[in-house]
Amino acid sequence: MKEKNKRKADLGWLKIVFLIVIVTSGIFAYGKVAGLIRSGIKAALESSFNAPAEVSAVKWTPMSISIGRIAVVGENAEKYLFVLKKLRAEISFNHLIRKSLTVKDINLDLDMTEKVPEASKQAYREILAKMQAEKEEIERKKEGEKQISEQKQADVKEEIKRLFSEYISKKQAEIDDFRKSSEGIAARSVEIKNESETLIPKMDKAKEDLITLEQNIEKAYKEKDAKKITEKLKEIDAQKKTLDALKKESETIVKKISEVKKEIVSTKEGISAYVKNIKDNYKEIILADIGFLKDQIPSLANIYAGKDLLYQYGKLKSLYEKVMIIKAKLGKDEEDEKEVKKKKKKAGRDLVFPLRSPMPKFWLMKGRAEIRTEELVFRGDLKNITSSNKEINALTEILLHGQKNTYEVDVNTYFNDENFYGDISAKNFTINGMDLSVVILGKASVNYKLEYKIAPEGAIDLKADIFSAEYEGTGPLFQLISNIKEFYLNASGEEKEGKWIINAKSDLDAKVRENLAKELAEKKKEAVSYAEKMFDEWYEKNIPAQYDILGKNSDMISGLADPAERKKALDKLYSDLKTKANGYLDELKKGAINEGIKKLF
Amino acid sequence: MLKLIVKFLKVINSNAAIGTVAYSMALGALMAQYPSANIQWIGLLVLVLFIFKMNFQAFLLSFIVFGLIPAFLHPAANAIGNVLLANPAYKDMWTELYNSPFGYLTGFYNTVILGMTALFIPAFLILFILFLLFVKVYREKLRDKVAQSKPYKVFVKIPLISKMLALASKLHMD
Repeated sequence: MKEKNKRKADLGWLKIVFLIVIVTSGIFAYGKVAGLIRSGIKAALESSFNAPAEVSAVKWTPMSISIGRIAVVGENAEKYLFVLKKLRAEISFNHLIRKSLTVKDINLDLDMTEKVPEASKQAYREILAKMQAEKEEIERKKEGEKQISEQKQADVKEEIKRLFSEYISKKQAEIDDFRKSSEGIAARSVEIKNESETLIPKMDKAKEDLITLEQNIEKAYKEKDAKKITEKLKEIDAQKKTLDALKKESETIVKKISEVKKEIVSTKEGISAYVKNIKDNYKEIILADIGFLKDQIPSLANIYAGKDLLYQYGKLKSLYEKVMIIKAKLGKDEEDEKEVKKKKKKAGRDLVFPLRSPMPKFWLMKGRAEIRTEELVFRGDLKNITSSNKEINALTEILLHGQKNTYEVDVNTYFNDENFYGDISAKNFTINGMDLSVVILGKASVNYKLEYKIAPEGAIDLKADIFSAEYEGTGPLFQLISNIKEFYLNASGEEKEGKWIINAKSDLDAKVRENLAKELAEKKKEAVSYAEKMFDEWYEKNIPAQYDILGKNSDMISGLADPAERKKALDKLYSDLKTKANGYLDELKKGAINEGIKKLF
Repeated sequence: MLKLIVKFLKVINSNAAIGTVAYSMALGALMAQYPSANIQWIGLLVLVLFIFKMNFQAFLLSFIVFGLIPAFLHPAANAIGNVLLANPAYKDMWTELYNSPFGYLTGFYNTVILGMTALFIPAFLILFILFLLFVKVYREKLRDKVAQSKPYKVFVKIPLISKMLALASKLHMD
């Protein structure tokens, strides 16, 4: 009993140790995750704004996150670009476990007026200079890469040439085999021809000898010279050896002729199957080349045209991937495919049930914002800022009220991701400016005019027009976009219950989509027709010569005098002559016997 | 592993409560077969470690052995899970559960996980009875024969095994 209790106590200690390990790991993991969030936010801000950022300690639970202060240093380290104070966000755990970051509520206190402390200025200036130099270096590298990439994509024909020579070099061994086979056939055909040309005179000579023998035998018969006929019969037998040797030689040549004929037929069939195979497969490879837009489309489509274009691209991409699998099967390893299959293996099947709440990648359900600038203080509400308005089926709402001295400004914006084309750079957006401003939309610059009047009583008359759009860069896709001569982007303001609402609509996405489809179809047609031309050129250079060699040799072999027929005729001549000679001899012998008997009586 | 086997042999040969050994083995076998990426498996592990009165040697050996052999319960579990999840009568209940964080974390929407959950108690009872019979029959009829058998004698004479047995017996004596 005592012993049992002791063992129990031992096990109890073990459990406590285990518990301590679990709790310590939990605390460590909590701290680690907080650190990761902090460093992640800092790195993201520094890379986005290319300026040093300050992020204070992060407190988090699976349902909330609080950060005391987030600040990004502004130009020349005089002021902070912005300081976000006491950020607190409520996160939906239910969404988080399904990989959707959904903020249920957030408080944003944004100060754009705070100055950088004197003590930190020098250090920040040095960091800013260093970051600027790094950025320039990265941009230089990117520019170089972009140029290389554009060069690669600039000429579809060059790409097809490359693909074709790559494919043909893989197939080179086969055409070399056919070439060797044709050359072998030609050499053997000449050999057979020579052998045949040596054999035929020998046969003709044997025939002449037999005919001479026949004449001599007939002469001896007329002279009733049995002795001479017997001698000639011996000569006939001696001729037999020559005839047998000729027979052997003739059979060998006939066999060789038949073999070469068969080989000519099979080589012709092989070349024709090989050519068909190249023609068919190569077309598939060329179709795959429409993937030359692969790397550029998603980012540009995101910037210019939203989801519909991405859907089109998705379809093209899946076609491209299918063709690439065919290409891989033509000569590459299938290991990758096997690995993908392995990864997918999971016990059972997951069933999906309808979700009551949408799960976009990011969704800020609602929040309050206070933004202090040098000019104004904005306060207001944010609603439905999301990675996909379609998924949540609601418009994004930014309702801010600004106030300074005698006038007030309301910025009430409602938009969804179908008519919003990119991140508006806050740096270039000034609500109180009367001048033309340039809003950077990714790689496009759009000139717009924003007009507003502030009535003495505070009412605002607002009108926005897009005048022109310019695009940077070259290459097929940029060309595609610059083809769009005009599009409409209408931003109108309307007053509702004393607040102004800006609505923006555009047909840019439809135009880009239409152009892209046209361009892709043309490129595809051009690619296929050029591929066919390349194939024809290659065919002309390589294949007819092979067929020519085979055809000539086939004709030559067929045109050879048939030794078998001659041999048959010789055999018959030999056997007739022998029968004839024996008949003459018998007759003479019989006659001699009759003469003898007559003499006896 | 060898140490674990020796300890298990000690347990099965000793007078440790037969029921505890059997249900520890049954739980070990079932936990090895149950898919692990869900909260109920973790909960079960906590129960096994901190709440249940277990024979750990029996549990661990059974867990390892049944973890190494193919998932023999999965085909049946998959079929049961399929029937339950595809049944229109339960659709509302599954949808409710799928929308709740707890339900989602259980992974019930996987046919094998749901099937294994449904099979858990009957399978546990069957395995418990089988292991109970095994230990009982072993102790009554096989223990002496095994102890006298040549392979066993050879096995216990292996230097490493004999050393470990001596150590185990010393610990037991203390």
